[in-house]
Amino acid sequence: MDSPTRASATSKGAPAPAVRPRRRRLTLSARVGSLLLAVVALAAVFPIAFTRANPEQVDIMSRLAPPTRAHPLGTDNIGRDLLARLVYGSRVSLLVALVSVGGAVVLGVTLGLLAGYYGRWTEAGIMRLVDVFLAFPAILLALALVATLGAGVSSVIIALILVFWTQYARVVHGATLAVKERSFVEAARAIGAGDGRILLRHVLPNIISPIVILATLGMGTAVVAESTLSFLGIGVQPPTPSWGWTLAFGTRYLRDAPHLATFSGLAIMATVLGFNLLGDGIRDLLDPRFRAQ
Amino acid sequence: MLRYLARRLLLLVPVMLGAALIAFALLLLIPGDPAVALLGQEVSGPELARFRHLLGLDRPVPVQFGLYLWRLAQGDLGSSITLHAPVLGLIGSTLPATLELAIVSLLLSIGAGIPLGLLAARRRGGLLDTGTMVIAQLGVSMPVFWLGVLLILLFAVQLDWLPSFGRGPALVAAVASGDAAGILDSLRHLILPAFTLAFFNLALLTRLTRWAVLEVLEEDYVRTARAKGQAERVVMYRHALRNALLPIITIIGLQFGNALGGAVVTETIYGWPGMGRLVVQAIGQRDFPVLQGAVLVLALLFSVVNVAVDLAYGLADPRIRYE
Amino acid sequence: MTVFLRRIAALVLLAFAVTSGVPAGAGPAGGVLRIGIDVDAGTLDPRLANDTTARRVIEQVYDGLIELDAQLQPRPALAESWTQVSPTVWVFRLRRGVRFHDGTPFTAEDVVFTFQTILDPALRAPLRGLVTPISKVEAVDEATVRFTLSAPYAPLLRYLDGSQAGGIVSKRAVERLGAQFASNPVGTGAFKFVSWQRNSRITLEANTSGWRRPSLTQIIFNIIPDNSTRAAAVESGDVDLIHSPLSPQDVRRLRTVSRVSVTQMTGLGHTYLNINMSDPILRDVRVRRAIAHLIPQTTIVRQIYQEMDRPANSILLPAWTGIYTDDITQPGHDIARAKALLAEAGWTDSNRDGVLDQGGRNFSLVVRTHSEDPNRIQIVELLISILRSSGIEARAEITEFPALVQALIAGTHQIALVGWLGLVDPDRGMYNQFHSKGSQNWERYTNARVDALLDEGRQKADPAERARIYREVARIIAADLPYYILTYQGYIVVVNRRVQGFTPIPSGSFRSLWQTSTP
Repeated sequence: MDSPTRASATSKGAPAPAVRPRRRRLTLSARVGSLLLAVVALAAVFPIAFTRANPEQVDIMSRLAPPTRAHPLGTDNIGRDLLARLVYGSRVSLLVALVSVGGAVVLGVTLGLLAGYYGRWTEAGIMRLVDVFLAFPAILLALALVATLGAGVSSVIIALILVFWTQYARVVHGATLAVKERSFVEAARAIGAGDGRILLRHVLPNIISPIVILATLGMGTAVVAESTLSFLGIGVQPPTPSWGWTLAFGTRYLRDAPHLATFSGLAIMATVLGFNLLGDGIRDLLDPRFRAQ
Repeated sequence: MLRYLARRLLLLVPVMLGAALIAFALLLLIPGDPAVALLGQEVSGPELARFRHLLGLDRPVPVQFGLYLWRLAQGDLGSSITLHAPVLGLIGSTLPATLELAIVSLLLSIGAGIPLGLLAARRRGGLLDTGTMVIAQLGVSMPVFWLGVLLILLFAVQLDWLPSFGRGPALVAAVASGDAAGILDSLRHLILPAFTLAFFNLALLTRLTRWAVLEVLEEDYVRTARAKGQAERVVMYRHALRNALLPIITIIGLQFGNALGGAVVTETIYGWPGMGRLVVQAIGQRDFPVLQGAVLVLALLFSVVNVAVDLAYGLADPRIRYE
Repeated sequence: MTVFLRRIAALVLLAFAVTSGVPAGAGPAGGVLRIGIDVDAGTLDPRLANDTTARRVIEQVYDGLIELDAQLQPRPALAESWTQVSPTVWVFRLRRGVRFHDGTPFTAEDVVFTFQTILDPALRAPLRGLVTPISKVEAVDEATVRFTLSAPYAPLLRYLDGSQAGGIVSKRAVERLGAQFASNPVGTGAFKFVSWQRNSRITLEANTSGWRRPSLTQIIFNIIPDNSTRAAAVESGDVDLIHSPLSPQDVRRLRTVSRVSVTQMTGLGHTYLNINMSDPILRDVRVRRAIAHLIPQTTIVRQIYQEMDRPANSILLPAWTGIYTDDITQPGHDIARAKALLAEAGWTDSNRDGVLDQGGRNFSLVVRTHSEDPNRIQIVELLISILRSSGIEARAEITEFPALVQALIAGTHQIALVGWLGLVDPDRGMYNQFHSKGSQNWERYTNARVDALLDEGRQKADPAERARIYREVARIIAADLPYYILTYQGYIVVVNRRVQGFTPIPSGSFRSLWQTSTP
């Protein structure tokens, strides 16, 4: 459940100084990542471009059928076209990834900024809250929340937001502390800029690059997390097409209908890979220390 | 240093209280009732009410929480509703299995991840680097449960090399008594779940080590060392590896803090008798005392390990100081 | 730590074996049997047990007064014989010379203690409801017990089976061990308890001084929660025996594995739709019938269960010999008839939006089931798609079992796909389910005729009378449809071919383990 990026979240230093990155080109792997994500996004927005089949059309008599001309990726456990299920399922995966990470960023950045900028009791309160949420076993939090809210896309998203937000809060808190003392912030304060203005105009832009990197990588984690919740039986509710659900079911039919797990698993892996490659690429681009030689 | 440590440990108190409070709040909101889970389908309305009374579930919420804290202060985690056993004993009997799995998988990911990362960094852009990075990318993008089921099918069913489920004798006990057959049995049971749990961290550690090494190679002091004509190998190990210690320590913290996260799934697939399973069952059966106890123990474990990790940063990197 | 304890236990047992002079390996053929089972036991106190694993272990460690054979007929166990002195008085003569595993003698006092504590609400015995008609249990002498009932109660004998409510505990051991008794069981059974590692394994060994001489020296229950892993374990020879619940696709494959043999029989459970009679839409019997007509029962059995379960025709289970009949049937798959019934009930698509409506309200329906059973989830997925294509705004709600049961008790559900297991007697399968005062009447069914019949059934011991009564109830239920019975659950056992002498019993009982061996 945890993100592969806590390393950056816990590493202590301030972010790279806000040197405006010179125009550099994305690395090859970042371009591959973008391409993968573009395909997934296209599937979510224009499913018709990939398949004409109806993802909810059931044909129980031909369940778990291997790939044929009529069903290029075969059929699922109640005879629905697997290609259509996966194409439409991209919506759920992308929705979960974007909204849960987006929500976590908004919550984490806001609280992190407040904690770092105001210090004192605000800081102590918020950072203890971060500690509590970090220490609370993530999978337990997710399981209990989904059990409470009832399974479904929105519960999954809320659970993931509550698991993910702490890492943004921590990074932003540390970065804000470092930026706050710097001369241009002092200068802005001296000419009478309000707190809100300083935070938005001066502090935020200077801490944006670690957030972008973390968020991109975090979206990959969210896609995997959605499938894990499905495996534990508390994911997105049928009949909504979902990759995680298909993969979780597919592992039960691994020996009789391997296409189910293989194709849904590949869809998940390709998307996560896309986010990771893109995240690494952005990191290379924004952080001069990782510049390709 | 000591003052820092004291302050960190003191801060654990509000964290634990907060965790207990969140756990308690979740349990109030969660639909379903331990009485229902306990009685199963045999339950009827009046019986349910009597049960709730016996379990104290009909008291006002603040009273329930107060009583819980009061017992907690006396070191009493209560008794499981469905398992008819003290929570402390249940945790005590399942935590060692989870820790064993976590530690072995951690060793596995360190033992393989660091050399791979080093090699990849030295041969940057080469075939080895590319291959390693591809595997590392797969490692962080593959859902654990899929990997686990695939490994069982391959190694336990098709090849029949390894057992398909369960835990052998406790590794520590087998080693301590010098029981060779026991150690072997223990390791045979451990290898698949440990690898499954390790794969993600192994991949992550490989990537982090590679980054850390590449980063340090750009640093001035390394350039200086090189310029001074020190052998490549010395540069690599003295400076780069030292720098790579930071991500490794981070991983250790992550692995322990998160031992449960991955372990829930791994333990379910391999029938590993650890705490992850205990907790999932407790949620399914709404066994609140077990859940609360588990949350507290895991939160404490996580927090203590994190304090240790932060201290270890200081030892690994003299630039970090504690106020 | 656990190893240490196990060693101590082994030493103690060794010492015990030496001092009591029991020859080692008294059983004729011997061997160790490794069983793969799906959940860990909650408790090993037979009075408190509420899960299948606990019952499987308990029936080895404990004996009931009677036990049910494969035809569900009572045969002697701890009671050698019994007589019904009057409609409300039963007298049991106990087997003599039986000792508990701790060496203390088994007496009438233990029987009295067992039932008195079960009847005491403070113990929280889950199956207490099965024995509440017992008003008094007395020891007439050392080896005679008299049960006095508040009213005639025909199913009593079956409920005294050791795997139902009737495992007899040692009074002394319970008083000595207190709360520890639940994890240190002391019974009279053919096997005695050795160790229990939570979520891992429960180990039993032969009781060589009991009233039955088992062949096996040891039984190990391995807890393997994942259905597919459990199937893989029996396939690779890591365990010797697994049984239901199993996944249909695994069963189909295991039939082709030469190492194991697969036995399938009709079990003692059914899977059904619980239809809430207090729901404004479902209150109309025409709507309930229409829904029944929409269910492709045989397709579900063939495709999803792959014939592991059988299509059901009524609430009567085939295992209830003498009572079951196949001429009681529910509405069959007939979509045209379903549409006609819905129209007759006033549900038409008046605004042409593709959804049936009535008085401005759409026909919307939530079908629930629980997340633990993948087959039921697939059936709900299929039903949702069928209901939708028939103009019903249907959606699924899949939650964990406790949340589902809570909704059923509260009556907030519309339709729920659930099941009943271990129905050893028609009374067990109908009384609490359909009696208007029944404790599990979650569908809110009230029918004075059914109430009268169910009360009468409890009082009639004559098989012909019982058949008449329960068949009439089944006929009414098949017409009123508070339950739509989808399948009779199959019971499947997969056994390694090296195992000999194991007889599967439809209730899922492992009673024949004492005659089993693994040469």
